[in-house]
Amino acid sequence: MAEEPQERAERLQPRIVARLKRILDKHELAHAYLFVGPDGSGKLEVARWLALRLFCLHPQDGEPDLTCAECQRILSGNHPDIVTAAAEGRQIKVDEIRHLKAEFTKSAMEGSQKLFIIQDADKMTTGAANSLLKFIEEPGPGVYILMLTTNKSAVLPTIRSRTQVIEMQPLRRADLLDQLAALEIPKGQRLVAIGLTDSVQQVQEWCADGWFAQAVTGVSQWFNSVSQGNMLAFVEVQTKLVKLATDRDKQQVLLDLITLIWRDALLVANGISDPDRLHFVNEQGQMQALAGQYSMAQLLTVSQLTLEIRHLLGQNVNFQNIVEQLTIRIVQTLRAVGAE
Amino acid sequence: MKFTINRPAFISQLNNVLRAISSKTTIPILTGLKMVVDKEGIILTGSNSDITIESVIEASDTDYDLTVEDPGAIVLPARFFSEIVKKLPDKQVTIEVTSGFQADITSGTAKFQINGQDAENFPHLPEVETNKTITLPNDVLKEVIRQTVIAVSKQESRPILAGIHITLHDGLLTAVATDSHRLAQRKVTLNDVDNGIDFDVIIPGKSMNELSGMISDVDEDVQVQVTENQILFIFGNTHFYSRLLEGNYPETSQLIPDTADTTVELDAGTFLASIERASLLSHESRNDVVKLTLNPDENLVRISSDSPDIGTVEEEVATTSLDGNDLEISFNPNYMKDALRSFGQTTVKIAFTSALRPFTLVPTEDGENFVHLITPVRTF
Amino acid sequence: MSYQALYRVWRPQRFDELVGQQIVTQTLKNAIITNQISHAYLFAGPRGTGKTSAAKIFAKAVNCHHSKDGEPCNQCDICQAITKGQLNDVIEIDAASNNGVEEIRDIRDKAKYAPTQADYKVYIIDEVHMLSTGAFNALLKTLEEPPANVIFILATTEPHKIPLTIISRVQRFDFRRISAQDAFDRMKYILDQKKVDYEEKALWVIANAAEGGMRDALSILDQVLSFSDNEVKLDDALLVTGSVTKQLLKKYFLELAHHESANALDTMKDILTEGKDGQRFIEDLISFIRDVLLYQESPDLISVAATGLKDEDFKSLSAAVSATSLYRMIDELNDIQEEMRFTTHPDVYLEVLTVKLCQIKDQPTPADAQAVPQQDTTAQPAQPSPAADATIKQLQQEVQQLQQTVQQLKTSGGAVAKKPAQPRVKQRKVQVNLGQIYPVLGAATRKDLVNIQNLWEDMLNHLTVPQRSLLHVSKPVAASATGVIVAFNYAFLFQEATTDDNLIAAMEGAFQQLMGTEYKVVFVPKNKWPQIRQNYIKEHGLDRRKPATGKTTASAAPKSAASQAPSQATTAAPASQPTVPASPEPPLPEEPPVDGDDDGPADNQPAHSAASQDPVTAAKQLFGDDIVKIEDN
Repeated sequence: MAEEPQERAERLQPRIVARLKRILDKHELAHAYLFVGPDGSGKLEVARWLALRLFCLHPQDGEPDLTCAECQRILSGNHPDIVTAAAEGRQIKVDEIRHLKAEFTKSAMEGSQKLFIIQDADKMTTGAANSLLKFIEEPGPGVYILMLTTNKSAVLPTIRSRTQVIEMQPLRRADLLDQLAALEIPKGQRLVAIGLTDSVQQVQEWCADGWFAQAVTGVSQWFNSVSQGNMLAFVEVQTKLVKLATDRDKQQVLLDLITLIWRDALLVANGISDPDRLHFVNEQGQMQALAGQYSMAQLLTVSQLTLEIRHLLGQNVNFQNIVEQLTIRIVQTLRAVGAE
Repeated sequence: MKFTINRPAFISQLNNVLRAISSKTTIPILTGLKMVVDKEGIILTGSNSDITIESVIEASDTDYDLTVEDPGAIVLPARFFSEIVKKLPDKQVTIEVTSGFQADITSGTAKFQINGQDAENFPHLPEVETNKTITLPNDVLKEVIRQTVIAVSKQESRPILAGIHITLHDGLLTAVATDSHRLAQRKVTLNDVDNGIDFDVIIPGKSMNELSGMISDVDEDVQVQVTENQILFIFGNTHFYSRLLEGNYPETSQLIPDTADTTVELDAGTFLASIERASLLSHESRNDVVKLTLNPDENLVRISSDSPDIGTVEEEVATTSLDGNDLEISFNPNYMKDALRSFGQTTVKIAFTSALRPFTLVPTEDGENFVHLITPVRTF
Repeated sequence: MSYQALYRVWRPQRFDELVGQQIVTQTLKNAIITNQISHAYLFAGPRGTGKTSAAKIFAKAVNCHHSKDGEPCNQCDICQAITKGQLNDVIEIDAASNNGVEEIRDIRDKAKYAPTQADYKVYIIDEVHMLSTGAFNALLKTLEEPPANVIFILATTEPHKIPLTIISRVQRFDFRRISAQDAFDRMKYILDQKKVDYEEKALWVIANAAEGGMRDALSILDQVLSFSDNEVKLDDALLVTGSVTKQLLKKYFLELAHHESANALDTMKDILTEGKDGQRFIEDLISFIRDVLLYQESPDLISVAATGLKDEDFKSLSAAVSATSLYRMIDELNDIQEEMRFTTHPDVYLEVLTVKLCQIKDQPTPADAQAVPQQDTTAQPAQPSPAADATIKQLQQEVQQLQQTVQQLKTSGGAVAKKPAQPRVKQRKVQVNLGQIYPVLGAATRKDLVNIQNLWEDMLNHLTVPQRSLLHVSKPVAASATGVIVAFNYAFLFQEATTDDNLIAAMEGAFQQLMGTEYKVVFVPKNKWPQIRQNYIKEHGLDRRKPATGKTTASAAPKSAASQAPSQATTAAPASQPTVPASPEPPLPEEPPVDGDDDGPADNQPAHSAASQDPVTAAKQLFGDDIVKIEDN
């Protein structure tokens, strides 16, 4: 996709780009912003747009020209006065932001402004985040800090309160579906994918080598077994799901799929049948049947079980254990019929 | 771009520039070395973003045996490039950028081809404006750095104190450093300075140390120019840029007391030796302080220290002059040692106000231009 | 000149300007007026309540020579230098970056140096809870022997992380959350000073969204201002804070109250597609419900104006739901709020929450997961009464189906054609076959077990993938020369395995190949194993009455051909009566405490320890290593 970054920012977040333009025109850019939005919502694109816009030598109509030396260097990641940090592992530790802090104390290398972009701001350790507080509170003139996060509530409140929080607007479901359709991703997968992410790029990655199709099928089959209280589902964990769970990201996607399919089941049981609200439309019949088979309390319990497991990967629990245990607990829940 | 140059001479300039290049950098292009070639000569640039060093090789300088065929510019990976050039077989080396950003390096029968980057992507340096420079004698600048850099703070908690505060006002250059427990201030009056040139900057102590090392190798005077965000020192064919620290430097002028209740004059070298002896014991105790007792009526100055585990020391100090009130004052001997060393072999005048107020050291001659201030330690 | 955030421009420079902390500021002022200054203070409180500002004002006030009524003059050199952060004697340290022992020792050593300019050296240690234990100890030493004319001000948002030894040596001041009223007043004051127009409702939205932080309030206000041309409008405030309008909250709440889950889910969808913030929504809902609750108690308890609703709204709202239900809603909301902190996909949480809140009824129906089975039996879909023969049929079918599946998996190795109408299988109970276990146990030795453990992996390699996966959570726990007892972590899997004749045959076949002799495999659920073992010791003691070839027992079915399944099921039939408590575990002859290692049934004979030594120690040693990771009930 050879789309220019500023066009992408504009397309993904037209209202926010327009708003930033207005703020820039009024010279009221605040010193620290927190951009909040899911993957694919365009946080980084907007941040990059703002960087280009701030440094561009010849902006036209409020847009960077992308051809001047400044723009070129920003695009190639070589601008000395734009300092970035992102999580390389699961965290951003104190050591990793030391260079950031050093940069805060020094003059810009070339002009009179400096821009800091901290991606995954929620992944800063408490120590790392705390050690930035002083700099974020009162940076010198011409210093701007953009922090990006998918999860605002995981950002230290003391950091949050020093920033202006900008929530990315959710992408329109129809737009997303159109884009995925343009990439020739089959409809069934499209519908499921948009329940997991707003990032077209991410979906593309998942779809490579047909992985996503297999994942959707695998989870659907598992769902059909487990929702019948059938312990075959337990076997399917190893025969189907574990094979698909080749890395940590894919494991998380599988867990998210599991959550999503049960969420659909719960919604169907509550009388939501509009296919626009559901993701696993192929299983709708089965879900309808479940609604007659189990009590709402049971379905609710199962949905909650699927929510509880989602963060277990982060605690280094083995994927197979997570799903096997979940399977057993779901079957227990569904089999435990009023036996008093 | 194409030029041929004497290899050993080129290597010495490469080494100069390599001092600024670090393999650990967050800006990818800074692992590279920039070469700009024109009919006038070659400019080599290396940077770690804190400091930037440029070496100018002039075509007219016969040592380099430089022939420029085509002007141009490129950034080459610094470490590889310098290793390659050092290991080449012939006395001459030819560097040619053929297509895009690929460079051919030929020497004798050896030929390397390495990938470079667009020189446009290298950080842009401030322009040299000769009419805005001041000139400092080489040894004066070295002395200014030596005398102030010792008081630079090594603490991370107040980053601004990691710099030397240098101001130029009405032809008077003032350099101050403090870690908030001691302070060193050096003034230099510059005679032939355009009064229009004033500046007020904070230069990282690290940069000044590096600069000090580099100007020791040459004996030319140093030209200094301050731009919006960098300071530039020019000596010989080298341009040395340093970034500046941002923030408010503490107001230090009020810290130096202008009156004194007790003053003593003594020989810096002798006093230093006494302090070193006393600190043999003080270092062993947790407090690490040396006590100075001044008794003008009896013309007595005594230093003493003790370590509860080891023992005590007392020594009378020879003075050339002693005036004012009786006083007992304690201080960290390391601060005193650093200060005395920065004076060299000379007589110093120490002026005290009270046991809890900072005291100053100045050379008895030329006392206006250099002052060192030390905060005492409370021992009661 | 770059834009200065409101919270920087309007940072309080006098105690009087600190909002909402009158008690703290008055006490501090009195201390300065009467010159009773402590050497160490702890300022504790949530973010944005003025801790650091108060510390700096205090540093000025103690050092200012022109202070009046405990307030600094803010004019003299000292005051101005402190304001600009330029005074060497007022040292602000952020404990997050300087949290090691070395850094604090350095402070301790440097504190001894006399102040350079001011009367007092003031150390302001921010986020002090970030100090390491060692650093706290070093700090403690300093606080124990405070140098004269040095004041430590420790500031923290998390006072509970500070050791008591420190707390007992400081004067503690607790900064309160800024009330919505105070935040409102302060914003109003600032906007009036700036001559900016505003809608009061917008200020209330901001004040509530700020959650007790003045800095938060001003940051949001800044943002709202950047939206519109110097006017604070309600719409912008709602947009910036991600707040939901009160009308929408009210609608959602009433749908919950009337258990209209589909409608409530629709409302939730609208809220989410508008891009509202899930966390904020939960918080808004909590305070909304809290207001209703308070109103129920007494209408005087809330300021109706600050809520943005009308009196009659509250009347209808508080009539809709009982206090008990409101409390339960708040409980649920609190729970979900905690869970949602770690998610990047809040939507599903909110939908599940919506259904859950709709389920809350005024009758005492415990909503927690464990109680689900007991809840509301009538809601269950009609099921044929699980009589014995029905169960048998189901069992047969299931076994058959499993076998088929396994067969298919073997051949196709992949997708299984889904049987459209699966029978609903419930409550299959498979008994532990003591008749098979006891003989193995009787002849068990540690050596045999070690041998089997060594062969285990090889044996697994003879099995199909699904078979291996079943055994994934199992382990050999005792073995004799002719048989092995395999324990399953989960009762379910035990049942699955026991009825899987192919599995048993495959395992026994594999062992025979590996060992060259006929070998028997028996399964137990792991949580029953200690009891079985102990009962065996008690019942049998020295005499091994049972022959080692356990084929004579009545219920030897599971390991023989599929045709024998019915007889097995017959044995199990009583357990599947609906009158039996719905324990997922298969019943045992004796009632076993789950981990009853010591106290067996009293009527049993005491163990003959000498005789049972060998298998028991072997089993015990083994069992000691096995930690049950998941409690399966």
